[in-house]
Amino acid sequence: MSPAPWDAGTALRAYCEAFARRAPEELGELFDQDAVLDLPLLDRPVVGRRAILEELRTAVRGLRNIEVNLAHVIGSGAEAFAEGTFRAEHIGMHAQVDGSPARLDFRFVVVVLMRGGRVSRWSEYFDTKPLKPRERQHLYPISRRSAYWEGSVRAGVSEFMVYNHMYMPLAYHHSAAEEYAALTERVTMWDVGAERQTELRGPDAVELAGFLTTRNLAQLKVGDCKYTLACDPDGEIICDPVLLHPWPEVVWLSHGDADLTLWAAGVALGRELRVRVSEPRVSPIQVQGPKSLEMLRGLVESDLGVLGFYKCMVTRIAGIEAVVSRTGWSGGLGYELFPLPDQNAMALWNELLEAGQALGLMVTGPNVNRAVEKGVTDTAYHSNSHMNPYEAGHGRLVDLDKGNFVGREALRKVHADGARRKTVGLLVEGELPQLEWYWPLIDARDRPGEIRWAVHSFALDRNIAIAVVDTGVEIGEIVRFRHQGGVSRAIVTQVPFV
Amino acid sequence: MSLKIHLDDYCRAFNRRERRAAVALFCDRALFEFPLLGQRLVGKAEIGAGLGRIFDVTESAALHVLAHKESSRLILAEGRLEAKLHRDSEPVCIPLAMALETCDGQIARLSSYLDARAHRLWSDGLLCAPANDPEGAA
Repeated sequence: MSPAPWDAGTALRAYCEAFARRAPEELGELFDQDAVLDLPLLDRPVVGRRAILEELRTAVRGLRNIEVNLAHVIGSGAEAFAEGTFRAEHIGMHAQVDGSPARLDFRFVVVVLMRGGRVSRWSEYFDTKPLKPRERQHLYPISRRSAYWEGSVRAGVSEFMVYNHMYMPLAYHHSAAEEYAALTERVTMWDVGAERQTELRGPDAVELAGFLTTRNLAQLKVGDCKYTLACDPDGEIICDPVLLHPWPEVVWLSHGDADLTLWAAGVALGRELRVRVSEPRVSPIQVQGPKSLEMLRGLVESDLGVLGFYKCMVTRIAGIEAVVSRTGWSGGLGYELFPLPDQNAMALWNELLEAGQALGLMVTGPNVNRAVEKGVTDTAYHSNSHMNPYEAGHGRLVDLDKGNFVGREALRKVHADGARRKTVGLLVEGELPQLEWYWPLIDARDRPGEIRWAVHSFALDRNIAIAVVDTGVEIGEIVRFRHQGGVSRAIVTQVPFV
Repeated sequence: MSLKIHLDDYCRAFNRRERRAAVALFCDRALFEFPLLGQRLVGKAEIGAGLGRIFDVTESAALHVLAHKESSRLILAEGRLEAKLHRDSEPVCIPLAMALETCDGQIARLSSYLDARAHRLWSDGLLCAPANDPEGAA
């Protein structure tokens, strides 16, 4: 690319060529220091060369096989208009279950204005409706709605999963690459109201929590949180809740997709404990990303900077009473906010949206791509697998000597005999379809194994997976597995990936 | 002759809700693309029906051209569409661009570029002109 100054026609063609080559640095060079980039796919115009470069870097990271064709270019010096077509494939987004990539194809008009030989305004006009034809999936009244329902709909939610008998937003209108960039570079907000609390309230709350879960709670203090496991009598994982102890005589098990409250209530009935088990109207929201502290600091009444990892506090956020914990599902800096009660949920949502605007806050679902990279598993990884904690890589969370708890005898035997399976990472060769059920390992020696999560890693720029496999499978070994698109090969590695 | 005249004539007819006058600007096999109508319309009959649909669902609709560039065969313009639908309580203002080509002194193609996603489609179902109204001016 020739150096500045450029005329509008030259800049226009250079931009399209550099975009097709996925060369964001060259794209950034074209723009004036105070330039404005305005595209229908963006939430708002991007102002300034640096911000534009970041935006374009994210855009090209999420696209491949890009073709930009200019059918007509009119103008040259300080101003040019053009009409053309854009075609590309999304990375990390599947259009079909067979793995066909989602496409980003559209016709456009672009208007380019120049100042001092660089682009001062780049405005594109095109219709995003055909690019995202589904407004959102259909819903049924048998599943509950989150306390943040209204906010999620307003933010453009298009896909949910049913989680704890409640719709949990997974996908909004941004690309996978845009959401990943927001989580790893800025700040994101997740409606995880479906993450329910099993509340144990009474003098024996901690004792019951200790019986229901695998970690030793003898030293548990008010303000502590613990990542722990609830197992059944066979030692198999029911779910992996985050335990919060926000007040004396109150424990919350903030849990994944399992009927933990029913289970806990049943267990409590047989133990004559002074404890009441319930699911309170408390709906968490996650604020995750490197700028999460900066975003929340001004809103939270207490000093959030002193809140340690896996600690919680009772405070006020924008005047709303809430529990805040430094926990979350991003593998990085982040917080979970629990407004009390959840009638205040939307008020909190709106305050957070406003506070995050200056920091580039994006409303997203939980980011599975990042979770898998960081090896952050959850109930979905364990469920339907008969997996025990040692197989899940969570042996450190089991204290066999702490006293009796559900599943202890079965787990003692697994510990003594050794687990038959283990959790590993896989660096996958080539493309993968959407994982909708677990993919079996194909092994000449008939060793068991199944891929339980598979995603595109934006950090590694390749597909990765997490699998539970026979303990004989070694790191560095090449394995094969079957999916709906055929057979793929992968190299066994450790988790986390990054 | 500047193509801007054709664009101005079309905008004037559209803004005055003069369907017959607007349709008369197009050639017989003209292509009309307008995302809010959801499909490409070809020929005077379909274009007339499409414009009729727009006028039916709106209390008011106006195109404003703010800047343009033209060559001998094509004009590209940017501007905005302001519209108030009967069903909505507030008017909307949508940034848009238009590409217009002519053939034998009539509009051969008018493509509008705007983001319809935020506004939902204005029309459901097929846009069929009545069989006895080939000019689309019923």
